[in-house]
Amino acid sequence: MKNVKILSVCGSGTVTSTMVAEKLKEHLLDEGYKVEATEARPTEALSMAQAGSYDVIVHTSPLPEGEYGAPIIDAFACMTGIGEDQFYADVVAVLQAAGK
Amino acid sequence: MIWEELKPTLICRNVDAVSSDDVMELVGGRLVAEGYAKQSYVKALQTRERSFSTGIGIGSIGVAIPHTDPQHVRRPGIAIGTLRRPVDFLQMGTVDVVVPVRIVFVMAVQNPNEHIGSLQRVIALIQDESLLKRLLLADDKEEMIRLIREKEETIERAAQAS
Repeated sequence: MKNVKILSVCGSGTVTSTMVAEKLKEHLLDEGYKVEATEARPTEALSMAQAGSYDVIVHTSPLPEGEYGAPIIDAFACMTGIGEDQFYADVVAVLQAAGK
Repeated sequence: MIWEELKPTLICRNVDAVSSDDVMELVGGRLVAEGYAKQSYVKALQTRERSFSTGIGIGSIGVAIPHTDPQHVRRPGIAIGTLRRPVDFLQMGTVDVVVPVRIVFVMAVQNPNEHIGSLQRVIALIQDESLLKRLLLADDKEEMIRLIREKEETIERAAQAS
């Protein structure tokens, strides 16, 4: 089991980001990843991303411009279910690309 | 389970709303009236929706899941509204994609980590287009609660089987 850190960003930093984080935890477990998720608001996302070492940042709100230091993936598919498998595949791909 | 907490007083059918602000007042207002949220809740829902929209367009029926910061909430709850006419919401994560919404699930959430099951089931509900259609066509609030109960029981059974 590989440990990965994910920053999940949504408008209030609570509800949607928690929904997305839980789905990711569940699906990535099947892929051999243990996910540690942190939820954030867009306004605090950049400073949190720069302060912590996240493997990937997922978001359902637009993110302010900036150097996040990790791959950023749109997580809206988690809410609709459409393209959801592709979303997990994209997350796994960036984790693998980073050697995880 | 969501249905266990659903009371007829938290359900609004055929809401006469023309804007998302109306929806927050009429449906979100139920959570205030029933003691789930503070007076500040409706205004907070309206403000948050303008910054971070919650519309979700899936299939033929648009849905929105308005919610706001925990400080406006007294205890967790969900209010459901079916809208007489589609009301424009912006799609979550966008500033220009309009979703004509027919059903809203207004959520009062305090600590999301304590309600992960409910949050996950809300997603399952909004992704089930045939359920949404049946909710829109339901004859009364009790039928809506029954439909949601059946859906949640199906999810539970599937989870236990796997």
